[in-house]
Parts: sequence; C-alpha cells; structure tokens
Amino acid sequence: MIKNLKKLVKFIIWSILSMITIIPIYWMFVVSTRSPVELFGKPDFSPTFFEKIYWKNFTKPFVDGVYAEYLWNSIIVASCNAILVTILAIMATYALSRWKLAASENIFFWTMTNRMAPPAAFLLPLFLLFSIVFRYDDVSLFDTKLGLILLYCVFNLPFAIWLLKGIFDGIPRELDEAVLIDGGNYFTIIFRIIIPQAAPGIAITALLSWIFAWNEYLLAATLTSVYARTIPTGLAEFVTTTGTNWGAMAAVGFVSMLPALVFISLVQRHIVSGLTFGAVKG
Amino acid sequence: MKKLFLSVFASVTALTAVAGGHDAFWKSAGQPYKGVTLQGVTENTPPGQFVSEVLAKDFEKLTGIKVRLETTSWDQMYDKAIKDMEANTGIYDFVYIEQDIIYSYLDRDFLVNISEGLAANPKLQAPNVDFDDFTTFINYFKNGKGDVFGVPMEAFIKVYLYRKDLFENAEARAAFRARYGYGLEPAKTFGQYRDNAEFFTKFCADQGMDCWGTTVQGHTGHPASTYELLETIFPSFGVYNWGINMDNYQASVENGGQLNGGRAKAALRFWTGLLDFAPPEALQSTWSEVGASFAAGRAAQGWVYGENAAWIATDEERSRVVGNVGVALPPTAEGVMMQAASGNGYIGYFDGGAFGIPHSSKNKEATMLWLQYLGQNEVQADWAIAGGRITHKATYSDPKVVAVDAKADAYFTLMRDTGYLFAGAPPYPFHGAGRAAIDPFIFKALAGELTPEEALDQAAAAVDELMKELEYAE
Repeated sequence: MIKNLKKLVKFIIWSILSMITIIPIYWMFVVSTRSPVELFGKPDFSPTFFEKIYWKNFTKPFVDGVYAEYLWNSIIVASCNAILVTILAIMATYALSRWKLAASENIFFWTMTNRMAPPAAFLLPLFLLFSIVFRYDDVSLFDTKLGLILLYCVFNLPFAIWLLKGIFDGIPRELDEAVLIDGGNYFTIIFRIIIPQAAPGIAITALLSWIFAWNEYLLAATLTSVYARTIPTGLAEFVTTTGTNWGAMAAVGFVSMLPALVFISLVQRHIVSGLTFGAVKG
Repeated sequence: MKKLFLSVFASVTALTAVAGGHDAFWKSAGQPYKGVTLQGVTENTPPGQFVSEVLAKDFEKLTGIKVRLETTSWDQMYDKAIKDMEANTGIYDFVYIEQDIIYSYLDRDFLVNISEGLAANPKLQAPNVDFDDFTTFINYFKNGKGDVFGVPMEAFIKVYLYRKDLFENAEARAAFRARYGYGLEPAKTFGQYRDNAEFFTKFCADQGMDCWGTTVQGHTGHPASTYELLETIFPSFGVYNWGINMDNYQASVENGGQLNGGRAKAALRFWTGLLDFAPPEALQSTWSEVGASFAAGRAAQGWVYGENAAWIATDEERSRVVGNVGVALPPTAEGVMMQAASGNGYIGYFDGGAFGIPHSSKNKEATMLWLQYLGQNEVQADWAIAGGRITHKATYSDPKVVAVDAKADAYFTLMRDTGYLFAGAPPYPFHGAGRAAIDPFIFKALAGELTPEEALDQAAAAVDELMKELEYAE
C-alpha cells in the first residue's frame, strides 16, 4: 500500500515537472498554428489539427522571407564553433591536466575569468574590434559568420576546458605512460586513449557549446547586420511598433528548436554519463 | 475621332518619354556606382518591408547599385545606428531617423546635409524628385536654413478609433441614453470619452462580450506609456511640448513650466482613471499591443497610432473588426481645437520617420541617388497601400489610395485634411534623457503607487534638475 502510494506521489511529481517543461513548447506550437486574428482574445490551449494550421506563419518567414538563410547561418556558426571549441579544449585541457606548467592553476583560473563578466560588458569593445580594428580595406569581421565562430570561442572555450578538466583528470596517467613506452606520442595518447575514454564528456562539451552558440542573442544582434544574422536575432524582428507577429515568431521559434532537438537526441545517451564522468574521482 | 486618337497617342508618347527619360537618368547617374552595395537599417514595419522587398530590388535593376536593408526591432535599430555613427565605423549608408530623434542627431552632427550634397553635385539631382512634393512632414527633417537631412519614408497621425458596430447598436444607444441622459456618440469631449468607456465596459460584460470601454497604452515599464501621456493626452488637454517651457527649459510651474500644472494633472488623472475601463493587458500595452487589442475587438474606442489604423480597418487576417472601424479626431479640451487651428497648439501626435545618410557612410553619393529614388512620386501609391503611410501630397488622390481610404473610414482623408492640427515631438536634443527622467513617475502613477499629482510634481522636479545638469537651464 505504502509502496503504491510512493509510486503515485512520484508519478504525480514527475507529471507536474514534465508539464512545466512541456507546456511552453506546446503553447509555442499552438500559437504558431494560429492566424493573427485568432491569437487575440481568450487563450485557447486546444490543438490545431493539420488542415487548420495557418501555414503562412511558416511559409512567409522561411519561403518568402530570409529566415531559411538565418537558420543556415545559425547551423554553420553553431556547428563550426562547437567543433573548433571541442578540438581546442581537448588540446588545452590535456596540457593543463597532464603537464606541470608554470602557474598552471593560475592559467586555468585566468581562462575561467572570461566567463565571469556578463557578455554585455564586452559589447562595445567587441563592436569596435570587429568593425574598426580587425579591418583590412573593406573587409572586417563585422557581420561575418567567421567573426561569430571565433567570438563564441572566447566564451565557450573556458567552459569547455572547465568541463573537460575533471574528466581528463579522471583518466589514469598510467595509460599515457603505457602508450609512450609502446612508442606512441602525445597525439597517439589523445586520439587512442583520451578521446575514446572521455567520449561521453567530449560529446556533452560539444553539445553544450553548440547550444550556447545556437541560442546566443546579444552579441549576434550587435555584431551582425544582414549577411550573418542568426535565428535568435531574427526572432526580435517580429516585435515592431505596428504589432508583434506572434504567430510567425512562434513558428520560427519552433523550427529553430528542431535542429537542437535532433542534435540532442543523437547524443542524449552520453549526456548523463558525460556530466558525471570523473565525478567520483577520490 | 482622328483628333482624339492623336491626342491619346501624343499623351502616351509623352508619358513614355518621361518615364524612359527617368529610367535613363537613373541608369546613367547610377553608372559610376555600379556594383556598390548600400547598407541600411530600419524597423521591421510594413513600410520598411516594402522598401526592402520591392523598391530596393527595382533600384538595383535600374542602376546596378545593390541595397541591403536590415529590418530589425525598434530598439536594435537605434542601438545599431547610433553605435555606427558614434564610432564612425561606416557600416550603414542610410539609417532610419524617427521624427523625435532627429534633433539629437543634428545636435551631434551625425547626418549629411542632403540639400547641400545635391547642390554640390547636380549630376546626382533626379529630374523627377522635388522636396516640395512632400507633405509638410518633411519640415521635421530640415535645419533652420531649410536644408533637408532626411527623406521621409513614413508618416502617420495618432487618431481616435471607435467601434462603429457598438456605437450604432440600438440596444446600446437606448441603454446609454437612459443612463447618461444624452446620445451615444464617438467622443468629442473627455467627459463623453469617460462615459463611453464606463458604459461599454459594463455593456460588454452584460452581453458576455470579451470587450472593454477603452484601450490605454499604459505599460508600467516601457516608454510607450510616457509617450502616450506627453504626446497624445497632454496636447489634447492643452499642455504642449511635454509641459516644458521652451524659453528656459524648465518644467515645474514654479519655474515657468506646465508639467505639474492644473491641466497636466487633470490629464493624468483622466488617463489613469481610464484603466478601470480598459482590458487587463492595458498595463502591459505599448503602441503595438494597443493596436492588437483594438484589432482583436477588445475595446470600444481608443487612441491608436495611424500606422495601425489602415490594417485594423482592412486586414481580415489580422483584425476582427474589419468593416466596423470608425476613424475620427481625438477628443479635446475646450479651446484646444481653436489653438491648434491657429497654429498655437496641437491636438495630438504626428509620427513618422525618414531615411538619412550618416556622416560615416562610405557611399554618400550613391546613397543620395537611392534616397531620391524613394522620394519619387511614382513609387508612393503602392508604398502607401502596403504600409498605411503617406509622405507625398499627390499620393492622397491616387486612385489606388482612394480605394483603400474608402475601406479605412477615410483615415487618409482625415490625415490630409487635419494633419496640420497634429505635431511631432518638440525639437529637444535632450529628447531621450528628458523622457527617461519622466518615465518612472508615470509608471508609478499607472501602477497606483503615486497619485497623479504626486507623480507630476516629482517628474517636474526631476526634469528641472536634469535640465540644469545638462546645462540647458541655470
């Protein structure tokens, strides 16, 4: 009886938690299916069936508008950034984890300081760097995908190093030594030992870097104009003085979630193990 | 018959020659700049979208000059344009200038003098563009000498919208007369407005309708509410220029201003009192939500920016009240209409914007061509229909515009005939700072944390202090 009661309470708690998570997404989808005139008045939570979906919310931004381009820009920026950050973080973390560098603790701490100030504090200096300092003739980093890819490294790399440090520290050094004795070099260690051993952690590092880059708004809004605009900055365009296009905004928001959902579903089995890998190292 | 044929032939030939001549001008004038890309920034509104999707493409076909227009949110638009001009980065070749910010831009020497630019380079002067063709709204973009710094791309007046179906409802009319002792009509006085608001709030509730008596642009954390008070409610009560004395830039009564004067306090009391008869979203409503509330049929009347009037009245996809929208002049206090008619006051807000060329632009000459292209009579009618905006005198009589006007309860006609009664923001270079000083007190009055009297006394003191800090006053 008590066991059943416990199960029931557990079920209710998890149901409530799931609802809290799912309702905003469901609501966003419902809004994306409604015409502008249906959206005002009493909120209506009922689902819209396929034949009643107001497709213009999807077609106008993506087919007639520029949102397909924004989506593509987001995919390029987030994916390239995640790859670059992961590669650099593996190299840097291995060095920090294995070698007694002079003031290595300070280097680690210094790296982390990049995450301490809010990104808004960097906005104006970055704007000047991108548009004036890093400029040759008419070419600058402003409004380029390359600019965003490099910029997000500044914020994602410290996080990735911090995440991987504990994981790499948890891999026995004896394995490294065995490879060296067998005639291998440091690249052999990284590719044959570290990466396979830390695969779940590396996957979660790449995933989180990707998500941070995918969702970032503030820097992208300031440092892009027409050629490298990403999906989050495009969402802001729906809020205007003549009204907010809620339906299209929800549709674009919903579509922009899909790549992230696909990406997460591909690596989800690594997420828990990745986050806890090395956590029990005593 | 032969005469008629010849006359038609001659007219067609002449028109073709003129059109061809204009095409020839754009082609030859654009030749030196072929391949150049002009970059601009504007708000993502229907007039901006029309520029981006239609006019920019036509201009490129004709001249070979590419135009990339970034359409973004209102705050981002300002943030990016100002950063660009302050840092002299030259990212943008043209920027949107709202009527109320031009004085700050001119004060900081951000903009290129277009009149001087064209006079210095007659080759760039388009034969079919004349700044005199614009409505008087272009005057807001001129300096003291009459030189133009911005080519208007949108202009609206803030009007009084009401629900014709509700006001003409026989049951409502009878009930109103029984309760108030006079006939139900769109408001001409504030007393009438309040009675209408109170009446329809109860009437809608009794009828089980999801509607209230009035909209209020009463966001408690957004400057839109301060703007509604200063630019819409105040002038209709006879308080002009935000209640700031233009001679000594002081706001409090004791220093010669009117911000905390009797009329201003009456205006704020009236306006905050309307919240009792407004839909629940009123305290979160900026300019866009007010339009959306009205379009959704949630209010019987309200002050609505004219850029929304046309779509609310005509666009069935976005509005539930198509066919039932009445457009009229807003109510005014006694004597205000006469003051406005004589040029000594105004009854509401004339809103809009223009495209100007930042000094940091790297393609000033090509941009002058582009802005003139936007200033042609020939492109105005379709633009007016797409964006509900009119900047040229001739646009009002275009048959396409006349047809839309008929569906929008003669909003365009009202704008043409009574536009002179409205005014833009006063020429304050301290516009942003001044408004920000007033904001918190208006927000508190709306939230009920301060009485209207307390709010305006404190706001006036804050403005006086700010003017001293900014050295506009001693």
